[in-house]
Amino acid sequence: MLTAVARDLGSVDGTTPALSNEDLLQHVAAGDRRAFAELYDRTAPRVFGLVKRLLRDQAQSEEVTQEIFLEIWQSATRYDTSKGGAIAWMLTMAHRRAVDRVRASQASRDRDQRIGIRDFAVEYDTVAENVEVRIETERVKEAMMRLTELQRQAVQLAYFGGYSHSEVAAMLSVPIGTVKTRLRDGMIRLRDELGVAS
Amino acid sequence: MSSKPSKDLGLNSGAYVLNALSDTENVQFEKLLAESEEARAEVTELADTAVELGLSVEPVDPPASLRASILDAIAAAPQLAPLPVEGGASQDSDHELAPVSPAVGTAPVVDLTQERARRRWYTRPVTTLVAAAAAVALVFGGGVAINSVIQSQQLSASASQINQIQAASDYQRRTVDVSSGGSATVIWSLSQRRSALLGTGMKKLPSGLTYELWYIGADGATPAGTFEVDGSATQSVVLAGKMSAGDSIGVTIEPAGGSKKPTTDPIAVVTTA
Repeated sequence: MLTAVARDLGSVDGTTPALSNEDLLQHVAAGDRRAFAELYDRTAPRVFGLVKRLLRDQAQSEEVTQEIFLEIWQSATRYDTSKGGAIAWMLTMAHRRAVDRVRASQASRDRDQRIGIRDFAVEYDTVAENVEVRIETERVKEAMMRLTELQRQAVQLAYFGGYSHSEVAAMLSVPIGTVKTRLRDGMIRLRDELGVAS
Repeated sequence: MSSKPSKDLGLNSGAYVLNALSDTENVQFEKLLAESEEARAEVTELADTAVELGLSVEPVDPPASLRASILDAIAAAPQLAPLPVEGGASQDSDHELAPVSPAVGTAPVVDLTQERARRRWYTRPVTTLVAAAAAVALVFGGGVAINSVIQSQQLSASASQINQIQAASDYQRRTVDVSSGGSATVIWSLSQRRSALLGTGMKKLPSGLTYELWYIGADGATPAGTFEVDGSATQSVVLAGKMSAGDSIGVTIEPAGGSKKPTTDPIAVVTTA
């Protein structure tokens, strides 16, 4: 099989249609390291970009990216094409992992009396600024502009900042229930604007 | 969204796909998902929407060393057994990861975190062992010494602040020898006006004495807290007060309780200018 895959991968140069990411994942599921390397080369910048957005720290971002690709290798056997594309599967995993790392390294934050809401508020200014300028895709950017200000802030802080709903609530000075509602309404609005349907 | 599945819980779908729920709420929400086709449909769409957010982030090329490191790691890492047929086996049967060979000391065993990733696909409810998963996450980690110091301290109250310093765009660090033994790494961020000291191999002091930290600026030394060394290999402590540009960070040994001005020569000074 290795030869077959090697031939397929060779076609990535453009002579014949390349393997899709989903095809590659299936080869990976069969233990094919060359297919994994190809998949890595295609997708690592997206994964690393997302992780780095959340963690910011270079060393931690590298560590978490390594965890993610290890997990991709180990769980490719359980990837189900009917449940979505390879990139969606990988980015979902990447976001979860990055947030896990944020939580693990901030596990004591809620208990830490020395950090008050004011500190969160200061931090929020920075985060919101960074988040604003970094939304690259015009389509997503436009969809984001359709949200109310508070929906947008809540979604950005949660997704790009890796903040929990209670942290978002503290930063925006609104009750947690309100944040939950805004996150849901905001995501539904985004779904509709982006035309995402299952 | 015509009719909301279990009104209150149903509201959590947005926070759920954004990974913003608390661990307890995650478990509750997944119970709802298991029961409600409608909730599953909504969550699947919102999760796909979250992926769109992920795709909007500018890609960043990771360093070539990371590729090499990952390819090395997978060469030694076993793959999971495919999932059993839907609805058949008990949850325990999912923990089928072959044991990691001892030769692969740093390769993570991912069964717990694997559970967490898999539940993103909403196939069926999973009982999450959140604390354990967090612990697993802690043992991952590269060979960067400062991170291992921090990770070993991650349950301490100062860890989140250290992490924030580390995450700052102007984060810097410097390591010096401690004249009484061991070494001290100071990490700092001037934008946050905060710093922390990570000690390695520093000596436990006799009773009646304490380590004291100082911000040393043009106006002299300002106390920035005391700390003890309990015999563990590493310590981390966030300095009290605000750091100013140009401040050096010093450590002295003082009488228990600390002093208002240094009474001894510093055993370590880190310049940050």
